[in-house]
Amino acid sequence: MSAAGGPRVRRLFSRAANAGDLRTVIFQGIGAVLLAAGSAVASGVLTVADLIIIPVSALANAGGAFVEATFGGAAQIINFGAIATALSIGPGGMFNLGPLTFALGIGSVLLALYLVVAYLSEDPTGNFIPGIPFDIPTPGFAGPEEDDEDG
Amino acid sequence: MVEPGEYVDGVTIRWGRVATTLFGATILAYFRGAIATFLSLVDIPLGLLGGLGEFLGSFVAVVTGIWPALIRGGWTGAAGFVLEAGIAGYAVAIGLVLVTFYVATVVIRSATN
Repeated sequence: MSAAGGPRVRRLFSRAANAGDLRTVIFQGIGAVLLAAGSAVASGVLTVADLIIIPVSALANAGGAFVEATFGGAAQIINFGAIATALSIGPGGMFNLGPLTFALGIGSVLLALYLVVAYLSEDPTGNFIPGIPFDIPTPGFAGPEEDDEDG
Repeated sequence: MVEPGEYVDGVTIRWGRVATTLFGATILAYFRGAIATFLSLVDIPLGLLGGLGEFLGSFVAVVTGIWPALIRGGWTGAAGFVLEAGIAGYAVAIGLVLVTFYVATVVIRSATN
């Protein structure tokens, strides 16, 4: 609201007085209108861009969070497992075997390594669970069929 | 700031300068009002579009944010089990990770076939 004689009105009078003549005042007004039109167009462009940028950036953030949760969580749980193993064979641990503790530690690491190697060396299979002689039906999922070795 | 002294020359009133200031201020008020009205009208569709963008961003964040939250919850639940596994914790953790990624691979492969 512009109160009578308020600061906004006083600014108008100051600008009119500083302009010197009416022609300058009118040109200033026209310039302000053009500036307003330009700023409206620029705001429109930025708003339309935001319409794309905001959802896409949200999707990108969610993608990053997904990767972080999947692989970061896996790394964290492996770290927890290593800590649990180290604590159990450490001083005062349940599986501290004195002089043989070091060998036990090596054994636990080798066991983990064996699991990884066994996983990587497993042949591709269409069965839901590999290593068992029968397939578990998974309705709704059409996985790859086993090769027909007899044919 | 408008100073009254600027409009007086000795004992004579500078009517031209007074008229310029008065009419100029009026004209500027018209321009200012027109600009404010125009910008307010433009703000209506821009506000709607901006709100739509914010809504889409929030919608995408909520829908896609559930997955990492579930995965984190799953890992957190498994962490307690791993910590209680004693000496087998390391192997259990790696086994859990391998089984998880295997199941994820099978499900993704089956779903994309």
